[in-house]
Amino acid sequence: MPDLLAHAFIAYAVCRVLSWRWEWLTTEYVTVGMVGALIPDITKVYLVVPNHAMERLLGTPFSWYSLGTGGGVLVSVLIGVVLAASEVRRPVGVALGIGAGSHLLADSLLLTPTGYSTQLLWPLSQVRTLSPGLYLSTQPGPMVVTGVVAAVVWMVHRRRVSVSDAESE
Amino acid sequence: MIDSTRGRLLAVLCLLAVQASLFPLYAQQPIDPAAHVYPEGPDVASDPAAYIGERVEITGIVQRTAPLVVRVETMEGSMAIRVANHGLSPERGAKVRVFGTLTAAGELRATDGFVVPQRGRWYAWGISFLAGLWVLYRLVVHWRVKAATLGFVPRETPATIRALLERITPGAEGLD
Repeated sequence: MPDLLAHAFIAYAVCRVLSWRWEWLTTEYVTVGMVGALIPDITKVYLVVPNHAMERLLGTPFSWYSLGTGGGVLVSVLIGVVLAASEVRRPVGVALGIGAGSHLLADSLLLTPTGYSTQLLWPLSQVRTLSPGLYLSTQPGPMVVTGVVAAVVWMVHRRRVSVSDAESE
Repeated sequence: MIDSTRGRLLAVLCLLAVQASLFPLYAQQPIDPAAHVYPEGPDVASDPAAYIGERVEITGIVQRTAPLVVRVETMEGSMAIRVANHGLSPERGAKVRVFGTLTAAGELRATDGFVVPQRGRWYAWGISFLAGLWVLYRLVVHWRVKAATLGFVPRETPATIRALLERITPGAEGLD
């Protein structure tokens, strides 16, 4: 995947642009979208406790990678929805979904040795997405590009807010 | 609608149980080259002879550079795989990901592959940590937890660092 900061920049930019169209998507929900963008990377726990270590510990086949599939991400998003108070559950669910979805789509563009990347529909389907192989998560390029885009979106938003504040005075 | 502390905790536990059931399910998903799900290191290590002549995907740490030998970690231990036709120039300790045909037990003829340098892995760790901090900061500033139900709600006004520090120092006001 692109690194986590690139994912956060993408989620920020997408949610902030959508907020210009959807009034309910306030700054609080842009933040929720960014939290959603982190969700699929929970799978990175394999860097601390590798799959084979868990298998040795439990004596059964085990893989953290399910957390980065469509099904695993859906369950994680549902956990977030349950944690939200009932009166804000729907916008939280939508914002988390947008953030997590943007992460999965960005991961689908990753370089892999087979040319195929994420399993967006697992466990319903094993099919991996065909990838153009644009980047690795260890390369700073995506972070720089997405950071520039996020900064531009932020400046446009600030401008829109100050124009609208001036008009309402 | 689940909006009590107990209901919330129960629901989270159920969802965590569902999540936990996906870990072994994923690890045991059948190999399906048509779906581009190929045998990987642990599959090859457990029964190398079964995959000779098949396309496999290997991720390993470089042990030797010429010839290229990578170590793959599995539940039973580790396995060394020699990679031919790779066209790569990795350093020892780098992570290598290759795709190719297993020509013999412990020998792979690569058709595609790349190196993930150690330096790049440190970058990814560091930048991801920063991202986590930034998002956590935004979450704390914009959201709070209702003590009565443990549900997250947006704050009426964004918190400031000073206000948060005052809250957690002795003599601060009670929780929301």
